[in-house]
Amino acid sequence: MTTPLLVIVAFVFVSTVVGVIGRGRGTMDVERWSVGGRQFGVVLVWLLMAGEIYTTFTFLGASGWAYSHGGPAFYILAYGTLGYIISFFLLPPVWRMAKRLKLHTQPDFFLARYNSQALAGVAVLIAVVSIVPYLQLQLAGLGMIVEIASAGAITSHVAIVVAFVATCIFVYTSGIRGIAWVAIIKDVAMIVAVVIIGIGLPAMYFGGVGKMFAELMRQHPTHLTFPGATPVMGVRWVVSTVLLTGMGFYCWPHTFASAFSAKDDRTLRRNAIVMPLYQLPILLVFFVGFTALLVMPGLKNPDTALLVLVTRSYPGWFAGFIGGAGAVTAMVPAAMLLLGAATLVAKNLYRPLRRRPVSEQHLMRASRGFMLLIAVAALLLALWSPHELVMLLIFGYDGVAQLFPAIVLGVFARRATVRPVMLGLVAGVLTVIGLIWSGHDPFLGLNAGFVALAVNGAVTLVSMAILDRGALAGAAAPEPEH
Amino acid sequence: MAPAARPADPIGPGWSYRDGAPGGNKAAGRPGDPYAELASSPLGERKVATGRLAHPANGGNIGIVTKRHPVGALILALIPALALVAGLPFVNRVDPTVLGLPFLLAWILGWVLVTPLFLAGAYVLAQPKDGGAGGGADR
Repeated sequence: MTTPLLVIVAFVFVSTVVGVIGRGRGTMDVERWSVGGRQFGVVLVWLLMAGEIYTTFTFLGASGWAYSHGGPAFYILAYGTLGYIISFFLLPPVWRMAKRLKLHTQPDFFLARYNSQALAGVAVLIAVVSIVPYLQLQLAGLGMIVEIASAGAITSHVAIVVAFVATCIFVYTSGIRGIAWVAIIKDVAMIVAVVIIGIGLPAMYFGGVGKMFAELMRQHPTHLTFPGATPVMGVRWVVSTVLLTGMGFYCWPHTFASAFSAKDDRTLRRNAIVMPLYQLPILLVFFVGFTALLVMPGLKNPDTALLVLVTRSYPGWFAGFIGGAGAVTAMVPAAMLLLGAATLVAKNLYRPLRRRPVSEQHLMRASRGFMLLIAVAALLLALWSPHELVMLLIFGYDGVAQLFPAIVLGVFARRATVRPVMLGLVAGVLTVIGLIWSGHDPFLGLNAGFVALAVNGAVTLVSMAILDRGALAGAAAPEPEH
Repeated sequence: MAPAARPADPIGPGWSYRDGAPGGNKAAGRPGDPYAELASSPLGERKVATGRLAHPANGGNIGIVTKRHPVGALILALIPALALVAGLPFVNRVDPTVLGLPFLLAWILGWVLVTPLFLAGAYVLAQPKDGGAGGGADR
């Protein structure tokens, strides 16, 4: 076994063991499995939210876009911050409702708020369809990381299967608590790795970050603004994408539901305050992508830029460390996604569709069963349907952000009812599918998902005015404006 | 209200109900608690446990308890959001560099760094002013 390979295997093994041990004592039920009994304080919630937000995408997608697109990659820094600002106002009331009504999933929220099984069902479908590309992104990234870091000793397919089985083991046994523990390993490893290479690589090749940028601006004067090296991602695209993804940030069922695990609503607000700082690793990843562009232009797959540069610049054991950190960075969000998708399919599709009552133990078994099923589906997709990483993420956001009006009106407009929200949702989803399939993304320079979200919002508000007369007067609540 | 009661009770002092529906269900729980009826009705609790969420007997929607945000908190939070969205068309250039960073990146990064300050300000403004005393005065 080569050195890098040993380090990677050790990482994956230790993480799996920690995840399994992390379950704690006592019997597992859905409340514990999916929301940790709602006992998490600032630290665990922070770890979880960071765990699902800082993903392989942070490692590979951000550096890949810095390398190949330039300026438009900066949207990644902006949208997260916008997402946290919105969450500051949005999550605490959602949490209070979840707590009182014992909600576990995002469709539970729709069911409780809008009293509509149909809306909850549609939310499950949108969520699962959006989660699968996101999960696929994590797996594809993981395969790429391990293959390159191990210098080809492990092929990407083998890596994907092995690491994913390990992930399934600790999600199956330990649920969200196990994930939070593995997230500790992941966060420490990722930050150490990114700080070392983000500062080290520009210094190694150019003698510092400032000098690297000076050289980049000399060689590629337009690379660091919008639209950078792309033909279509101008200012309009960036602004609309930041809005779309910022609003979609907490619409993901797994991020939405991770708020439920907080022990009080202040925890969520304090989290929103500090989270923007946790985006700084992304900046360092940009540095690596830019350095890679100058050092080795013309890579066939820009998503590999960071890894190729690392293996070329550092000794084998360090490449192994990056590979291991990268693998765990994919495993934690994949675990969150699996857990989220499984819980909502079991609770919000399977249980309502069965005519007979379903016991808690039965539901727990069903959740685990669906987890394995979704895992296999994503695995097959990851092995046979490759895609550029950032585009997978943006497709997911296109879909899931359509839930935003339903969530915001649900929280802040007491009189919003199910029909207008449903109409808007359907209009938004149809718009986004139509635009992407007909090749109109971007549309008039705007992100297609954003156009669809605007249609969605307009249809919702207009039909509210028509269907529920007087509703708009009640909706003049203090909404977080964007 | 004893200060110690607060952490366990999210609907504590300083929280208010947007629909302002106090009374009517006092017998069922806290005054003005929109869930009281639901949580305490035998139907409600049982239905929650089986996953079919119950609803108030009148069939209406369940309102969410939203905390009143002072306008100041909203404005404070809006500033970085605007800078990061509406500000972008005006800063789309590399000059002047700031600490070696191209201007566009420096602008975005700067706002990411100060957003916690704005949100911390909003947090302070959104806190109940009573500081633990005079609980429920706000209702």
